[in-house]
Amino acid sequence: MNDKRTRALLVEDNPGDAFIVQEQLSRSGNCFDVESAEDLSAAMMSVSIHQPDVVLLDLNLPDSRGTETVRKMMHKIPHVPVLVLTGQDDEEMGVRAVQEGAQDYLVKGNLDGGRLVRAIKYAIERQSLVLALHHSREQQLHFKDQLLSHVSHELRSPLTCIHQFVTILLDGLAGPLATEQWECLDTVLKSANQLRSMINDLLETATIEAGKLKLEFRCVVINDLIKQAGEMLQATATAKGITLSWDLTAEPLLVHADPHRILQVLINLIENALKFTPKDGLVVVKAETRDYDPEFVLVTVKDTGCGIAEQAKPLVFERLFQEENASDKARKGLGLGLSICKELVTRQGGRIWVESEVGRGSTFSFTLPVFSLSKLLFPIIHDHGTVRESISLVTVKLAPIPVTSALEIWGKTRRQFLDVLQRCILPDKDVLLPSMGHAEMGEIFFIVAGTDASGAEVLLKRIREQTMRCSAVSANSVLNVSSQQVEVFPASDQQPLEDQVEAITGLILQATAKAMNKGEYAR
Amino acid sequence: MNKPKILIIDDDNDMRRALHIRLRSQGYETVFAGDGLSAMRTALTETPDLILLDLGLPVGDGFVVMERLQKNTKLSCIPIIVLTARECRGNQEKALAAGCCAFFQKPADNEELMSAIEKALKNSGVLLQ
Repeated sequence: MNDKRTRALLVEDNPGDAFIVQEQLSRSGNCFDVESAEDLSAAMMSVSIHQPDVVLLDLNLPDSRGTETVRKMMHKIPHVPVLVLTGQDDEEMGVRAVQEGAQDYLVKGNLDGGRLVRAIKYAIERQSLVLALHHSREQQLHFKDQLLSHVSHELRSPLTCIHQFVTILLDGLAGPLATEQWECLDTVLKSANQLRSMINDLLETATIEAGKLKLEFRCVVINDLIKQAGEMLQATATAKGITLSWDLTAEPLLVHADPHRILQVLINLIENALKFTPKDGLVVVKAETRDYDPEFVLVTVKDTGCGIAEQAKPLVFERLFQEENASDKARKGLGLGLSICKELVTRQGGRIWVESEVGRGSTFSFTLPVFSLSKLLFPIIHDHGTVRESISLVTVKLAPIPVTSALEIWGKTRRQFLDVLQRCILPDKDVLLPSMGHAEMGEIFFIVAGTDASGAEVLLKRIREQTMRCSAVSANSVLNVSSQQVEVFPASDQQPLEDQVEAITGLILQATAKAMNKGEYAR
Repeated sequence: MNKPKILIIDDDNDMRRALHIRLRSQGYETVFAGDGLSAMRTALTETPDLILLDLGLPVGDGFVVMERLQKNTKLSCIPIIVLTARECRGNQEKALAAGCCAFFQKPADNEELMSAIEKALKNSGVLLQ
């Protein structure tokens, strides 16, 4: 440090105080380059042009006061040590600033050159230690994530092998089995399946921990997902003698969420309920909206199981939590399922909680934001804090070939085509709008793409090619695709981003309505 | 009619054997390859009716194999089903875009896998609809 000049930024609005500090620094004989700023915005400007080695910060500035000043500065330059300058009567403020993350505080009346320089040197050294510590912690965490993910992947191969050969034996492909042999192998298979779900949980947790969880939001009919999850687990429930049912609204409830992830949460909660509910018990899944909370849909999974002890309730969503009294071997898992659920629901803007009474049962509830088109389009229209410069609306018309116009075939073709479309779009940049209603003579789909005209051309080409490749679709239908640019007005800074997104969503809606009414495809 | 021929591309010998036993029981003939390079060679000499493809392979992974298959006029229309230990997320989309007709994560449900194979063979006209 001695052979290098230290760049200090002095932020002080009182010219007298600023002069004293500057004097002390220049007299100290140490090599300081001092830059000054009179308020926080000037300081912010200065640090974004050139990062200093240390900041000397007065807390009460014309445009910011108190610990808020430290917070803003630390947020802007988290790796640079900040020394706070306080008045003589305000040491308490200095202490609070240190709690906020400042390296030290100096009382202005007591400044002498030696003390000031020492404080600056120590602050810089301490900060570099903190950074080194932080760095090594990051490395360790990264190693842990890698280890988790690597181990779980490697465990999968032998497990797959066990699964393959046990099912070969069970299916009698290697010769007939005696009843007892069959039963033994069936137990092996059950354990292998249990192991698989644990490995999946481990991998999932590693993904979440590493911050690599990717969510693909779209408009989701929660009723369908509940039915799907229920049907998947019906056999398990029947085998245990439990009645599993779902209580759904007649009107489909639309939420803004990632369908795969919500299905995962539902399966996890229902499986959990089935695990802890005895024979002849009930598990009911329900979705509803409530008048006092119209922005969210509430989903509940209610069981008549053993319930959760009062002291355990706050812990069930914690990682690695296991019910101590769970004596049955089958109940044991890694204790990751509910923590994954919590993470998934929270990341999708919802909340999850449990109500329970020992001996009577538990109700797990979670909420999800109600769907709105602007919410869905927000990540497409919005790009790093501003409205994206070019947005395209791609119109995709699919009409059945008259010969094969049987409704059944059309339904199947339509579903396959939707799969094709999902494959063509880029999850981060394009959104396939939810269906605008069916028409017997075909259907129009819309894709909002965060791209310009030439990007839209590439997308059109991809859709045409992929459709051609899917013989089941191309044999039964005629495809017609086109694109148009959505007019994006030059963004005015005054207008909040949400309002701009809302306005553009409106334009897109108008364009789709026009396309629907004009064509022969309209209902 | 000849038995439909399925090329199993997997670097795990046990996995190949297990798939062979199961496919044989369903009336299929099987041929094998254990890496990306021999996969292409075997595909060219055997011209299978369907390919079961692992993604993690030595000497050219599954994506490379798919790309080469697509480029070869003789092989580009053979349906490919991916069967891999890799995550569905990310890989599934990528694999479908690369031209496979179905994606399964190991261990796959046997019935689902068999019905996907049957469906693919029917679509390509090898089996009767």
